[in-house]
Amino acid sequence: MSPATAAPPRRRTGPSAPSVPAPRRRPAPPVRGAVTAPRTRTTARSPSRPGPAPRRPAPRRVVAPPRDRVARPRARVVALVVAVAVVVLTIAGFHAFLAQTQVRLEQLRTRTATWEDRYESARLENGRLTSPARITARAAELGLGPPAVAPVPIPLAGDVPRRGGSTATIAAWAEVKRHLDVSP
Amino acid sequence: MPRAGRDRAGAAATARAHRPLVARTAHAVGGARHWRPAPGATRRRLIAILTAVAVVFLVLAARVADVQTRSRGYFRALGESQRQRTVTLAAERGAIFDRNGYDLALSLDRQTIWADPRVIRQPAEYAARIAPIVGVDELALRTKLSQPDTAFTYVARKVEPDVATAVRRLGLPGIGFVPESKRYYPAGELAAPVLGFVGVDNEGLSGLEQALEGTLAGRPGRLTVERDPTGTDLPGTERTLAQARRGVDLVLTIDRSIQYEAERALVEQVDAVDAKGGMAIVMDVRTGDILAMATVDGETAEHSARPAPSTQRNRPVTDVFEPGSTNKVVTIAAAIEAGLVTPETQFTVPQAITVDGQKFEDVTEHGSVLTVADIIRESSNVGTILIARQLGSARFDAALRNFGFGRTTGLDFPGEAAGILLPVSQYNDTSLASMPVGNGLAVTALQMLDVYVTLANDGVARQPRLVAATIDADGKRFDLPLGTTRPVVSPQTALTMRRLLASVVAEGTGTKAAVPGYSVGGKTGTARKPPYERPPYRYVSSFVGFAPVEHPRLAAIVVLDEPAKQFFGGTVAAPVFARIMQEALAVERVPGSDSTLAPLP
Repeated sequence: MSPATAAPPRRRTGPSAPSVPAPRRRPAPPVRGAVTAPRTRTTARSPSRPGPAPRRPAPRRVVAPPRDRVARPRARVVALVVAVAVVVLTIAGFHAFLAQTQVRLEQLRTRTATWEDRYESARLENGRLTSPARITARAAELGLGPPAVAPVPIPLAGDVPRRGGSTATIAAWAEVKRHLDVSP
Repeated sequence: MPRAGRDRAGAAATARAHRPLVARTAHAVGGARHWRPAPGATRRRLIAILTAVAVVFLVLAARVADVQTRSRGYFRALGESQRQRTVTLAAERGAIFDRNGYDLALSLDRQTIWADPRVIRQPAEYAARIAPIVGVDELALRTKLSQPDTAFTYVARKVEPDVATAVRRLGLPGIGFVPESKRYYPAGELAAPVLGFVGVDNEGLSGLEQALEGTLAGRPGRLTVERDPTGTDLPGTERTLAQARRGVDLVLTIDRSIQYEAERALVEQVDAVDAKGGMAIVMDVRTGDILAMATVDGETAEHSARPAPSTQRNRPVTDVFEPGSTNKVVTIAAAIEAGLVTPETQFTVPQAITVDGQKFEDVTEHGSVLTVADIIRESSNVGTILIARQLGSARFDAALRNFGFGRTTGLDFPGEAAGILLPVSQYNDTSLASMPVGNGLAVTALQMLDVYVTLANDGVARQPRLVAATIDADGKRFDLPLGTTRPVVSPQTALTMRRLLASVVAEGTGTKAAVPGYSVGGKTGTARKPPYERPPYRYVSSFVGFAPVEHPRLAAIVVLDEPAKQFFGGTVAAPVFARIMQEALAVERVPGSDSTLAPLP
């Protein structure tokens, strides 16, 4: 049995009891990260009498090592900054999208206005070209003139033939409209 | 920290606390002078300073609160007035179409060229380069550009796109462009007095443009834009407060083809007979729609006979004239309606008659006994006077007013005349002789046409109209209701009158009004203009009629003012009527007459 593991002998309380110095216990290994107070001897050990048995140190509260204590608030700050950046970038991106859409809208408005101008100009030109004065003047240049007697619409006797219907009242259809189908 | 160390540090701190910053007081301690502040002085000074600062900030805060609450409106308005400018957005003017949708009037955006003379250093060079392009006087333009105190002057308003492009290409500083709306009339002078015209700011000044200004103009919008202290508009700061609302389009009852033919036929005849002018109206008997309303100016030193421009009055509704023999139908219709005469009633009709010293005579020779049908066919003045005597003043006056004389037609055209009609109480001894034959009263061409339209429409008068429909800014069409109707004579009287008038064209004074393929009824009119007894005599020649007689569809009147070469209505006006009616019947696709209704012998 080694002195380190043997049980301490029972102490006798009288002065006549032979004294056997108590084996010195090896202190417990320090807890990682704990700050231990320097070992100081506040009282001198009496050489004649063995000292009291060393006390077991009071259980220490485990304090998180410095690295852990700093890491948690730092993570929160970083997360907050990232969130703000994301929000800002999202807003910026949305504004960029709006600006692009606005530009596109302006382009469409410009195109619409351009085509409207073209339509109005074409309409004016059409009015001028189809005006009776211009048509009669152009007809006169081509040697055309109004008929001596204007045609007089005469209602057809009987039923008015419908398209694709009977050709009984139009005997000369094939001769007159040779280039068309048989029936009107 | 050891207790001793703590004691030393605490003593030092205590010593610093008691060390004065500024020696305020001194007291002797054992003979030596020690500067030490009075107890609590520093604290009091601090409190005083803080209190003063707080007071100042409170005052500022109160002022800020006042500015932002109580005076908010004032400062906001002040800032806006300094910074913002309100621009009126012009509304596009509504277009005017004929009954078939052809453009008669429309508006397009054009560029107006303006200049800022303050920045123009070489006005002469500018004028020399710009004037030939825009077609303005170079000297006048130079004068405009040479006004250094003027910030704005027009160079040319509403120019065509190629002109604006050419000026823009010059790249001259101080020359600007602003869009403005310009009114166009693609059909030229067609129906110009009817359409009217607009001023430089697009407000209607005559004709339908003026009468329906509120409908055509639309509603302008408003736009605010911010500007810098120099007055320059800041781009991107436009804010529309109210969108401009486009004007309403009008669809007229006018038919472009019939209108053109009426004007062309009138111009040729006015030129041929050397008349001062002429007018014509074509109307749809069933609806009261005016298909054509033409005004023609005779030849002058400045121009040949031509359709009247837009600056002229629309004479068919604004000018009155003594109708002459065309008014005889009122006298005879009233007598037939009253049961006093029939077409076969005979009268002993001398060639002339004297009433209160005034002689009334018939132009053509005739027998001594005439029927009512003869009287109207030969246009006998004496016979008509005899019929009017049987009618009496009261019934005659009532007939005139019942047919619409003495009041406007309800067309609501600017400047429409009500005519001149004496009240019965002011009749003199010759009134019942002159007025039945169309003298002593004055009517418009439209009023006289209405009489014949009433007879053609089975005795029912219908209010004429020029506008058939409107088209709002969203393109939705709204057809306007037909004019109101009112009975004037019985359908039997109207039928009898139609047959009598058919005999006028078939065998009487109006043979030149015949239209091939159709039966036509009508009456000629030749009225001497005052002074009546002193040559050279001047006349108003007219013809009013309708076709086909059996189922009238169209009616027309032609009036020539002071034809110089010939003056009888049957000679100068009837042929024009025939030509216009022929065209109108063809355009309207009216079937030819089946001759079921024979004219009265």
